[in-house]
Amino acid sequence: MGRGEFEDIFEDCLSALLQGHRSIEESLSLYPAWRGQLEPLLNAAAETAAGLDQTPHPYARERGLLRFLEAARGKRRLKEAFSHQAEALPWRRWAHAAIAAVVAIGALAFMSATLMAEDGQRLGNPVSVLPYTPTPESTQDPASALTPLETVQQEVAALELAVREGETVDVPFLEGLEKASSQLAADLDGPRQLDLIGRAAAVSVASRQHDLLQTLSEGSTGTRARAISASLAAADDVLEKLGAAPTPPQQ
Amino acid sequence: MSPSADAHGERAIVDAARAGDEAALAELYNLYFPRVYRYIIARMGNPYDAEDLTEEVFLRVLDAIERFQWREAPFSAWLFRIAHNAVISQRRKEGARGRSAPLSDALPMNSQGPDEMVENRLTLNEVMRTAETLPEAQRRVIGLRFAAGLTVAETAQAMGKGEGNVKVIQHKAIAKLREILVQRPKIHGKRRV
Repeated sequence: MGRGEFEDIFEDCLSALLQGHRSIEESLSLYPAWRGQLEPLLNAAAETAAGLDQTPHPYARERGLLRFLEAARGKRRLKEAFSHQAEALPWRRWAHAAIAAVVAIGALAFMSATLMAEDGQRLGNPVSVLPYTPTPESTQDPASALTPLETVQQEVAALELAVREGETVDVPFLEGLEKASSQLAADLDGPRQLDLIGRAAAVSVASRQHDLLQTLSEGSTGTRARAISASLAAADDVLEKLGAAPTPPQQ
Repeated sequence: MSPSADAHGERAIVDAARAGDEAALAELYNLYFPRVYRYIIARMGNPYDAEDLTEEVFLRVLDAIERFQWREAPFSAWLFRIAHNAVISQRRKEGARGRSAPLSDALPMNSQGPDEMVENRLTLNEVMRTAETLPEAQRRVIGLRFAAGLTVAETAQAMGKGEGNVKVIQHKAIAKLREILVQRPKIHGKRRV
């Protein structure tokens, strides 16, 4: 009998033992030829199972259930709020699809023009292509076209990618994130107040920023630690203004 | 109830929970809380950490349950992948804080007398200390099979491995546990190994 077959027999006995279908002795009498090998392993398995047979405290279980259901209710309320908002403003449902379609058409048009120009050059058949004229450099900061919330969302997405890939997040980036978050926090008090969907998005992005920066803060020192701390404070400020301040760590 | 009836019942509960049904969510919680707790205690060793982390696992489950798809894995395998990720992330945090996971004196109250509790605690501590010497894959198999009560097939799906591979890993793990447990003198009671 091969090694794989012994492992199958052992698994049969182990499953029966763990599920309480057969005692060790009953399994050994089913496979008498393997008693010598099976017995010590099954005894060790029984002892391991007994050691790990722990029951959570009923209070912990109850407390966990209450929190779990409260979180489920919160999630449902948020979902309902989103759905009501979407019904009130139906264009929102199609806005993302429309933007994506415009971008896709633009990209296709650009690719077609490029390919036609290349073909024209290659075949010696001049295709009417507009001569290239360098666009005068815009004096407008491209970032200013984004709202503070969109800027924070972009930067947190970049931060998430960097953390996931294990890349170093430098101090200027962290300072930029702090600036954007502070701007978002200021905006929450200002005339351009966010609607319900915007507020939910702001809570979501600031919570993510908080978690990522906390992960990043572990083991950071000096200027980088200060920059992380400042950016974390800015995220917490956003959360506080939205009534979603993070719970302080338990002592 | 037969295993297939169990599976059918669980499928109905999971589908209702995915749709946000509160009673189904509570049912899932009650079904899996003790198993997730035991899995985490098997991986972390500390009951208080295990209680908090079990709660966190269920919050993660709540966030992700709408994305759960039956064709990928059974629900239990999916849930214990989340539990595994929570354990890894907790260990990383503790590693960064320079904190090891101590075995607590304050183990949870089971319905046992004081003598049984001491005996049980010693056994858990022994198992935990012994398990610490095993490679990660073997520790994970022990946690999934012995603490979480997963079958070989579910364990294989939770770990992304083949069933044959899981059987080999569990055999090696138990052989190693036996070797170490036999060498260690026991304080109370007679060793059965």
